Amino acid sequence: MSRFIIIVGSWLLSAMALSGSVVAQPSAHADPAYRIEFPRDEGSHPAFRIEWWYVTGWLRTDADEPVGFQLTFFRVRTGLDEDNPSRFAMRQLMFGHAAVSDPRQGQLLQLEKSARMGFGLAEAAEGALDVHLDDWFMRGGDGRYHAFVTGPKLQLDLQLQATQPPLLQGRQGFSQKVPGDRHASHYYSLPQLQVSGTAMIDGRREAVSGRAWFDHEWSGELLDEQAQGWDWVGLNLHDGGALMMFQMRNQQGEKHWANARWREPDGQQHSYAPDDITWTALRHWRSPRTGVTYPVAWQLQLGDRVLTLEPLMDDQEHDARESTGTLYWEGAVRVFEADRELGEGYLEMTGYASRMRM
Amino acid sequence: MIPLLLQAALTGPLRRSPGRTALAVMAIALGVALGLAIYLINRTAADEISLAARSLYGTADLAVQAGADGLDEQLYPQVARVPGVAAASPVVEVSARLAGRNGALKLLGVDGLRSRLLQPAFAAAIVADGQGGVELDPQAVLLSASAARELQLQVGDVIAFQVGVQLQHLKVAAVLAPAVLQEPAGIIDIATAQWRFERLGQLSRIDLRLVSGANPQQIREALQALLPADARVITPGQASDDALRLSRAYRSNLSALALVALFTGGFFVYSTQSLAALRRRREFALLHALGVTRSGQLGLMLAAGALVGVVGAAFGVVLGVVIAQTALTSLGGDLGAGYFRNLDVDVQVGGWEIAIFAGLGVLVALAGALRPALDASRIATASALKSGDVASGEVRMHSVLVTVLVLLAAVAVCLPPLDGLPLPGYVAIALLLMATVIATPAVVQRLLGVLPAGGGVPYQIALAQLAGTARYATLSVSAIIVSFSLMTSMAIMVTSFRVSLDEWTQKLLPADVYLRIGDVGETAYLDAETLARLSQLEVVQKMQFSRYATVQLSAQQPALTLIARTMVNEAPEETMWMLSSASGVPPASRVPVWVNEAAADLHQLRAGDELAFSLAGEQVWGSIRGIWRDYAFPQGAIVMQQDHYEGITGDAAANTVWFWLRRGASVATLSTAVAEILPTGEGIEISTPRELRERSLAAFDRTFAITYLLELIAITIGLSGVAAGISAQVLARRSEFGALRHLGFTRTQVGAMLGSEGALLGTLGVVMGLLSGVVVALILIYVVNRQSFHWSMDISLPWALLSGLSAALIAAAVLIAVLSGRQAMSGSVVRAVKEDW
Repeated sequence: MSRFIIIVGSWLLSAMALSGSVVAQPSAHADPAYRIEFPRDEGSHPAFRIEWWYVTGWLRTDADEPVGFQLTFFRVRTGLDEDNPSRFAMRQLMFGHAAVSDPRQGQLLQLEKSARMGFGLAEAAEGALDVHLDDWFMRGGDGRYHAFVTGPKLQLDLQLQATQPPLLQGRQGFSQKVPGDRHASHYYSLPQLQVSGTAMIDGRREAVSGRAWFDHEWSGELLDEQAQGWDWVGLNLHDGGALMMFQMRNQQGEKHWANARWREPDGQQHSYAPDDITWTALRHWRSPRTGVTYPVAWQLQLGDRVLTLEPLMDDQEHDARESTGTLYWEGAVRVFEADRELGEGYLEMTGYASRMRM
Repeated sequence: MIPLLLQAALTGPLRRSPGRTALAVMAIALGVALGLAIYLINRTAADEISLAARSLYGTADLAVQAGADGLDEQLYPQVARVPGVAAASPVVEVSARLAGRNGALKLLGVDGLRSRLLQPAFAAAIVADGQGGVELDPQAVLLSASAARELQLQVGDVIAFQVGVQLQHLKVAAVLAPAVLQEPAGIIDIATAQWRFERLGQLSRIDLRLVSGANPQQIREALQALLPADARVITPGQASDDALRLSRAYRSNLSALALVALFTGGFFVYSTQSLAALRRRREFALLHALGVTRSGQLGLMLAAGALVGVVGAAFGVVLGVVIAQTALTSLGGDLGAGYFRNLDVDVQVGGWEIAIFAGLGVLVALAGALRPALDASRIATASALKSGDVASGEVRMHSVLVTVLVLLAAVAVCLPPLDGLPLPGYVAIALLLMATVIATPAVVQRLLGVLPAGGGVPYQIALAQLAGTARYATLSVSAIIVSFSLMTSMAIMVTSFRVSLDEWTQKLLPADVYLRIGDVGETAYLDAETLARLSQLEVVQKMQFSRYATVQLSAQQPALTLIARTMVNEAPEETMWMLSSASGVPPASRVPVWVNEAAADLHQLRAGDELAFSLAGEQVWGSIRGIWRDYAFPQGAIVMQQDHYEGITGDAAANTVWFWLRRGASVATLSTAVAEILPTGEGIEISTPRELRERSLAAFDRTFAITYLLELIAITIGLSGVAAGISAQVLARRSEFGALRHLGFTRTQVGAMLGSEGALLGTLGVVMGLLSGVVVALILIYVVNRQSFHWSMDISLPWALLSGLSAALIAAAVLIAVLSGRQAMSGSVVRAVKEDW
């Protein structure tokens, strides 16, 4: 599940709402009967309104210092300009976003990029994973991927190698987000990716290696009227297991919907229904910049198992108000069971500053 | 001793003749004020234009600028991928005709996500409104603050634009902060601009930001290699230079006029100081006798001039700022010439600007005082202490100097313009005026010598007086010569221009009714179907039409207007005012074209030359069949037969239509019929040639309003000079009047004598002024105007105006002389005679 550009989606929605005169073209919707196939579904699905290729993970520098990273490409079908013959018609937009959580920096270093699709400058291929946005790109297949993002203070050049088969989320890749089948996505993950490459962080170039989590998700509509925001986590466990869980909160801050999937190292999978999942905030952090309070440490109850999440650092707030007008928290976390560290992953929390629209 | 001396030699004389001192101060003040005001107005307008260009280009380092034919959008990804280019933002610029209003609005079609990188202010303005995302709305337009104000639109309003004969509507989604985009314009989505405003596949510009540390020269070369010949790689600074270049000739001509005013002021100081020196010869001699050295004497005289200069400059600076502000608010930054839209700005004055113009004023005053001061310091003490020496100004011919000056002027007239400005022409005018002034005393003496000696005694005395004091007498008329010759020349130039313009308008508008839809480069036009229906109207006996397009002859020069017109190739004179024509028949492979004078001058074209340009993507080879006179397209225009144009471009639309009506049909009937055919009728102008002619002459007068004002000021300064000069001389001759009265002259006879003197002086000034004025007018018409604006005109003399002004000036001279005489004779006769001793 996720994120940043869901925000971009809301940006677009407000655009359409404002214009009034614009009749947005309907998007395709996720279909429970659809079966995901590889490599076909690694490519783009332009009929759907929103789609993302999302990598999160933990890297270790040569000095064995932990650094969290996030690297994402989004595609948005605007529903606008469908009959405009111009090659600039903004039927599809591309967004890129990257961030590292380096405790040596104390707060996030971020990059972003956006463009309307076309002219070979920003494209997302169908049938195989090949997306690029100017000089940023993510491409590959058959378990090997190459991602590259660059900017003034940050550059990531990462080779990703799958060690496990893809993990279909929800009902065989049909991931429901709120009660009912209308608000859902097609969703698969590639957990336990082996990462190697180089990172330039604040001018310093280092060789890095680590483990990552890749999500690919496409949807026509994700949130309903009640949804306020979500908490999502994707965890690579030290024993080789993988755990994804999320909850959608309503406007009262209560659980509106939830889902989780745990794959054991031997491949055995457990799926959890909303009633089996409880998110309890353990500790809050208030952003000194924005004044928004985020629950940065959590207790997670999954059936009879009790886990806790602790952030790599408290300040992993994304302030995207300049470009999209939203605030959220997304960052590297460790997961514990009792006092034993189970693994590492990424936590995303939205809707704490204001309601998300999607 | 020293303070007393200062009072006696410096402040005393100034205070003793407050009127003349005040006039000298006023002359300097006016000169400084005009110079400063025109400079400030120009500078403010230039600053505004530069700022506007800067805000248009945001933080771009370079821009790829399309030629008149547009830029193929395929170049965009290639340009974006040139190494060293960090961000590329494509722009489609359209001049969108406003439906139901007069004029067009510049629309900038941008890709919001790309322009955000170069124009963060656009995006920030939107987010700050709490309306994130409006820039992604295809029907939205973001208006600049000035556009919203000019069009009186606010957020939520819908603007209708005319594209062809169709309407396109955009909704105002936001109004940008004033600093974000200076000029009146709207920002829309690039895809909307291409589609709705008929620019599919085309770009106007690609703004670029370079990677920091990149070598701009290398990138320019890499870009230029990708681009077609008519596209240019420019910096935002060059873009603002281009914008300024349009009005540069006009602005520099105004500056030249302002300097003329200052020059006249300096001349006025010269004549008053000379007369003062003359009158105070005995005083100076006395000062010498008292032990004041000659250099001390010189210093004192110069100090008096400097004092006049300082006070005048101080007044002038204040007046100049006030004039600049008033003119900017009421006339606009181009003083009503229509080069740029109204600027809503306050004049900002820098300290050094004030210092320069004030310094110029003081310098001119000093220069004016120098010659009289030198003369005064050389006075022979003994002879000057005696009386009766007043009139001993001997006249020298200076024939060598005058000849050199005239020769230099002749050389300057033949020189080409400097950097596009007619500076040699102005230098020639200045040299000629100097020559005239220097030659005046000798010429006056000669003329007086040949005048009939008859007439009454007062007349003969007047004649003898003038002949004996030619040098000093002419001093008082030299101001009138200078200002009157300038005024004459301006009057002749303006009249010639106006008459030629009037004739041109009539030649251009032979039809009964004229219909216009959209100006050059604007989105509105009449399509072929509409044209066919118009031509079939019952009231229409004959119809012709034309279409505007733009072509680029060279990437370095502004685009030319192409006018495709219904015409007979064999008879171009039916539609144009031909100045020259090519002989023979052009080869069949060449399209016959006719260029206007501006195009001929700017691109060095002559009748018979060949001309290659790209039109709608096609390479066109033209043969220039002739040059035509034109006052409408100073950047150059090319006329081509409409059939040829349509054959090349496939474009059968029109922007202007000429109708010849059937006998008995009225304009009103035609208007009604046209309105029925054109549903968007509001954006269409239907005029009779008479209305158009009146409108163009009104526009002409508006443009020259400032020139008339400057002329008026020049003549005012000139008249003040005459007044001061004559009255000073008359007052200095108090004792002479006393003597004449003792000899039995009546007051009336003395008055008649002075009147004759005034009339003679005035006539001399007027005649000399007229003569040099005509020469200056010729330079203005054939050199300055031609080089500045590239238009020619036929000379017409405003006889009535010139003779009226001449008579008024002579009458004023007589009046002043008589009035001064009356004042001089008001005291007792005995005391006046006694003063000699």
